[in-house]
Amino acid sequence: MRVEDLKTHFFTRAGVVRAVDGVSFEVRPGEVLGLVGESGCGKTVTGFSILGLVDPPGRIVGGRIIFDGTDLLQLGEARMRQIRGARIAMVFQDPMMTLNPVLRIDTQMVEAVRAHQDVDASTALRIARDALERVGIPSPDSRLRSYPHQFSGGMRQRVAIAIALLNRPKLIIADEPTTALDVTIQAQILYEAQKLCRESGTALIWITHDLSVVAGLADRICVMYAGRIVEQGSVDEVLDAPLHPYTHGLIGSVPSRNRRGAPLAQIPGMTPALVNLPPGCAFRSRCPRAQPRCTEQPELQARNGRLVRCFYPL
Amino acid sequence: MSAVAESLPLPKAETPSRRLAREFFSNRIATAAFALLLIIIFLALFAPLIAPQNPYDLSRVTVLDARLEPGERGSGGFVMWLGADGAGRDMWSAMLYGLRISLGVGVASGVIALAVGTAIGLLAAYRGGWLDALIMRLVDLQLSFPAILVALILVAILGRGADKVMIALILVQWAYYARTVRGSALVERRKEYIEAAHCLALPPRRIVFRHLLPNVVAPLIVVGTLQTAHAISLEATLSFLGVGLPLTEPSLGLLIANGFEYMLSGKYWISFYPGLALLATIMSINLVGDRLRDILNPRLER
Amino acid sequence: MVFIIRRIIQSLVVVLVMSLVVFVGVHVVGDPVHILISDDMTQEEIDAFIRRLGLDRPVHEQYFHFLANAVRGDLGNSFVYGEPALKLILQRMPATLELAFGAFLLAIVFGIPLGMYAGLKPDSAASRAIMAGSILGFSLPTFWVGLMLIMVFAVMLGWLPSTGRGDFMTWEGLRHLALPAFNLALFKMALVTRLARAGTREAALQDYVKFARAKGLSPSRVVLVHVLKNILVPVVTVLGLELGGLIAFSVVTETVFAWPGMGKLLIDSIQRLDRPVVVAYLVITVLMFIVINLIVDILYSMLDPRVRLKEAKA
Repeated sequence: MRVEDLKTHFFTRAGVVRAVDGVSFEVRPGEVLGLVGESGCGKTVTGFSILGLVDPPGRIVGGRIIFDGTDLLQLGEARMRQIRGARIAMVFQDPMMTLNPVLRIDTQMVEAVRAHQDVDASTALRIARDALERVGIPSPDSRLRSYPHQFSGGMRQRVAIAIALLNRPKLIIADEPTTALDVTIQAQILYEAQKLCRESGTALIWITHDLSVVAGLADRICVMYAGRIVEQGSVDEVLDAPLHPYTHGLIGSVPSRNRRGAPLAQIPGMTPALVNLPPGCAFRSRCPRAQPRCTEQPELQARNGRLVRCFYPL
Repeated sequence: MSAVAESLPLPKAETPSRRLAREFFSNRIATAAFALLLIIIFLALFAPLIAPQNPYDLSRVTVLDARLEPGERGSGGFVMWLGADGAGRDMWSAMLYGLRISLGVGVASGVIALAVGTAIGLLAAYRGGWLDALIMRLVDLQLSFPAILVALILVAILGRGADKVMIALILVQWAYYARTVRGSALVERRKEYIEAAHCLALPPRRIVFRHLLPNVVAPLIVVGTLQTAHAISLEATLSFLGVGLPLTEPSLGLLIANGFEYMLSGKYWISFYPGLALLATIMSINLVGDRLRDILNPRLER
Repeated sequence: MVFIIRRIIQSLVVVLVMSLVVFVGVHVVGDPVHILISDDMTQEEIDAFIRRLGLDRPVHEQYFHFLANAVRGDLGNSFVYGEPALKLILQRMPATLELAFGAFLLAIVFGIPLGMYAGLKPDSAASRAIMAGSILGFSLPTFWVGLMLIMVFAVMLGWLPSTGRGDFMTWEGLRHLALPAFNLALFKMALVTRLARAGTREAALQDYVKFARAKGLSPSRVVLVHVLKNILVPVVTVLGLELGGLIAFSVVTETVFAWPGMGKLLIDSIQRLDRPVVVAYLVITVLMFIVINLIVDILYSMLDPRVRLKEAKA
């Protein structure tokens, strides 16, 4: 899939919020792309934009999303519905809220199957059962007849992943799926997600704010800030030798990176509100390397096979 | 620089009531409803001065005028724009007097119920413990039954008469107020400014009245308006059924009941216009209350 | 199962409490003799009556006497008809129930779809019209609307009969039922619409709706299965309690339309001072109330699985 210059804006009473402002990236089959950034940088909206799930007052105002040869943004709602859940699937952040609390698990899984495959109920049930087994849920038959609140958080998220896998999608968008879980469960799920993708050749976009998660999982990484991608490259390159000051700050502020006893490094200031952003580089007010030239908007430059949006990269 | 800054007056902070008014009137429907309500209250208050005829002054009313159609001229020399009823009373005048009574009884019972309910609710919230539990059980029990049923039970037990109807209306309504106030007061009570007042050793009564009460007012206003509309409707229903206010204090409900028998012969105006007045009153109060709820409630949750 | 038994026991307690309240209200607060005797008895007859009813006995003895009689179904005889009051009320009950259920169905059939539509498209003109209509609906005084309905449909247009009741489930019966049921339903319809709208608005914003869309489900399935089931819970609870209110409020409609139900009997009895019938009505209605509340609670637990488990664990 290739995203080209995607722009999604929210038209609120307080002003226009440019949640996604010219984002471009590419995901190849079987590849894991990490989309990293702080809360409010637009990464979740990017995920929703790909699936066409942006609700008013938001609207996709520009760009192209090329998937399997077609531009998704040109497709009508009926065609998009065929793609959603079948060729592109999504896993949300909080499984308690994404699974309907008054419906049984089998109902919610079978409907996802039958929306895209012309099978009868018992076949659909079998597919659901197999999916639950694949994500490592014990005694799937009884689990199918349970309700979401009867599962623990980690199990619920596995169910959500199982649902995403039901129709063998080519691309899965995972929006902070492990943020709400314990660290140990998180590690398990990360491992299993990686394994599944390798085995089935599914591409995965993993959206997170946690660099440590992405470090072990992704092949390539995009760093987002204030609605734009500020750095892009392979995981090793970006994390070992970051080019953008923001990326550098992010890596530096991960607790395990800091020495014991020394004050914790942080990026000064706060993420800017996306309403009515001032012109120029959005990171300017917090950047230790800012110069007068930074009042202009930097474009993405190529540097040794990577991309960075800065006039003065490291 | 500093001299200039000091001489500039500070911008006037907007008081809560002013902000309430501003938000309220920004909605056109609510403003229209409020205006209508003011007109209705005005009409009701000054009925004796406005009505062309006192419909209960037997010397001015003659049965010759009975069932005159709207727009005809009666024996008193004035045009009966809304027609006359079965006894020759001008409908417009009867309506104004009836409005007076309906509104009066509704509001009076509402105010008393509010006072009683608030007192009990505050007591329950402040004292807590078994008293609170007892009062709340009572409130829950009463509220689980529909108001009309409670009213009918009370009327059946207490008998007929204006004062009994008032008592019944008050007893029907106090529970809503008590529950609202108690809920609000419990939330407020846990907040720190009450603790602070406690620490200052202020007497309980002062804490309740000066500190607790003002913050409880907001939901009370909402419940108050909606309940008053409900009370007016309930009184009209009881009067229509013949178990409400007696003939000497004819409310709109009674007027409508009087017109019942003429309906089938097509003389609609005897029931229609009082009903319209009743509808206008209830609806304007409901619209105002609805708008107040929209404004006040989100703020409460913040 | 335990849940149901516990609720039944709770209801019995409430019944007992209510009997105490009715007893206290009738026998102690109001002058007991005054309420239960007819006005034209001689002093001798009054004394005999008092002795027969045991009204000269201590209060708690009277209470047990009352309970014993009540359980046996003896609530005194009507002054006007001379027959047992309970029998009279029970004879009229089917008519009232027919009216109440008719109104109940109308309120649901019209209220829920209207409310859901208004909730799904909250800013549309239709939605605003529906909401305005709902405020009108519960501001209109029921009895006045009844009169107007009679005037328009029976007198002016002559389409429907104005009074009386036809046979159950016949075309004539339905013709007679139409206006009164609609009249009674109006108020509740307004409430149901508002409730459904509020619930739908809230549900539509939930993550599980977005997730259902992300699975590629058709919009009708999303609405009819996911949203509806979630709003059913609060709506059913309120509706169930409102059914009792409908039965009580039928008093008004029955009077306007001369429908031969319990309510009309009650009003006539109050006006004719036929007090035993009044007491019988109160007893029956209160009992019905409690039964309805019980059924609503049970239904509630069946519809919302979370309640069932919570009670089981408790």
